[in-house]
Amino acid sequence: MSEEKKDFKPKVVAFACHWCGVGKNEINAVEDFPDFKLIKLMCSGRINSALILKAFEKGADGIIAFGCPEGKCHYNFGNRNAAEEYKIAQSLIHLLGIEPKRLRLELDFFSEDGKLDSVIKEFVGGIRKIGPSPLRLINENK
Amino acid sequence: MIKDIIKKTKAYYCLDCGKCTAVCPVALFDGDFSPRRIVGETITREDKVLDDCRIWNCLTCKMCHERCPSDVNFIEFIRLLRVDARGEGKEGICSHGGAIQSLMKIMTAPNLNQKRLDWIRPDLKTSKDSEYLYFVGCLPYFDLFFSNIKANSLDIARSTLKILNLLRIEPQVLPNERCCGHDLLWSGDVENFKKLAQHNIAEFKKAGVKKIVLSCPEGYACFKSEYPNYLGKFDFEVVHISELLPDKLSSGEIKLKPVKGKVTYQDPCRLGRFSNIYDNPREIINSIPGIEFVEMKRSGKNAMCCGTSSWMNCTQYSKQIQLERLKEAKSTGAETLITFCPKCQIHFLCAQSEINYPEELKLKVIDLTTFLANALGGE
Ligand code: SF4
Ligand code: SF4
Ligand code: FES
Repeated sequence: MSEEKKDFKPKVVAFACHWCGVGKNEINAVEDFPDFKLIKLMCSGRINSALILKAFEKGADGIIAFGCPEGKCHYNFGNRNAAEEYKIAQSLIHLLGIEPKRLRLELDFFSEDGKLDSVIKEFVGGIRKIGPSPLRLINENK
Repeated sequence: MIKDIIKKTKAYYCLDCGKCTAVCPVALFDGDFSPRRIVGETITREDKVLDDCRIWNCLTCKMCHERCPSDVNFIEFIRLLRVDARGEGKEGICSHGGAIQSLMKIMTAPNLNQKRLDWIRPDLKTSKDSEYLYFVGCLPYFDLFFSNIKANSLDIARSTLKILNLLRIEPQVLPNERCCGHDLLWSGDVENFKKLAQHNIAEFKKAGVKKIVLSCPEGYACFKSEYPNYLGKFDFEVVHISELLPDKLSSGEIKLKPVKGKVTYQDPCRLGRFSNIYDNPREIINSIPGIEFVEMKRSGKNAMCCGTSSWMNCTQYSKQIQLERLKEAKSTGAETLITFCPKCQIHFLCAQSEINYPEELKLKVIDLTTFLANALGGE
């Protein structure tokens, strides 16, 4: 079992607000994860449960989303929307039986050197421990 | 093959009479949409129809088929065209960003381990070996997803279970039943519909149930006709909750406390025109003492659709249809519109939540199961 998990390359999707400092040059950690997909958005307010479910449906093992801190959203209330949608998505994936650790929203930091790398490393590390998403089979059956 | 679809649905018998378009709720507001023209154009220009985005706008409400003098099965015609169009990579416009479509597809995963039973309060009794199953369907998902409009879809599930318990039925409720697949089928996705159906049948067999009770008319119609159509023999008795009630109510076995008020009733297409269940819901409503029941002008076989189906192509015309229907309900003088399909309820609540919805047209929208359960007293 643990052997299997060593081979396991987690597919991780990151939705990131353009303004919160998740610039490409900053994510050094990405190199370690070939199956890491960064999807940049103009604001975390674009994130909704539909996007999150779609990524899970397509076989993502983990989804992490980044937005500006409270009071710092460039469009005023985008990150509040993101937080609300995130709550709904969390409850939906709970119903579906998808492990809660596969989904995370980070709204509390601007670009501090190296912090992003460590957050992503930690998140992907967590996904490694849980193993592949049960939904991968939807796509493998094809 | 489009030729086969024309043949199978008897579209070639079309007389071009236009009765379908005259009663179609979409055509009432969308001048571009006409079932008559879609049939005519398909017969003359077969190749073009799959590109036509109008095939996704039909609500499959069956009103046209009800009226057609030539018995053209227009909804089946549309459904089969959608299957072919999907084969060419086309699809309708998913409402809600496609979230509900994703939920349905996610449920095709074989190894799901859903946590969908939290709604069962301790006073509601279920069992692990009853021959009855209560098929809850997507209610836990709707309840959450439509919390913004306070749909409270799980009230329907709790009420159904309360009613069943009163009838001395303590049904099984399965943690891993899937979406019934109705919407995938009607949007042309036969492959995923079949996967959901196969999972469900496997779950039913594993649970050893014989009778399946539903509170959702779409699930009911789907189990009754589409499962046997697509997967062969379906060895379970399919029962809609409304079929269990009238006898028990008229015999006085179930006692109801009086409820004051004037109500009207929305026939769901899958219960009415699809399943021919018109009288039972009315008997149930009329058995509640104190209730004044009034019909809308278009009711029963002529009931107007709630405006959207299969979570797709929810357009401005959908909103216009909903507004028209709510006006009609309001004009009866009723203060409550009783629905009997979780989606009708969601659609009418959604229409009323629009920012410019007129205050004087506001109505309470409640599912018949919940309405009845309230009249039973207790929690
Ligand atoms: S099924 Fe309903 S919406 Fe579709 S064409 Fe017929 S009447 Fe119109
Ligand atoms: S009602 Fe029937 S016969 Fe008349 S136009 Fe429509 S499909 Fe053709
Ligand atoms: S601009 Fe960054 S969250 Fe809105």
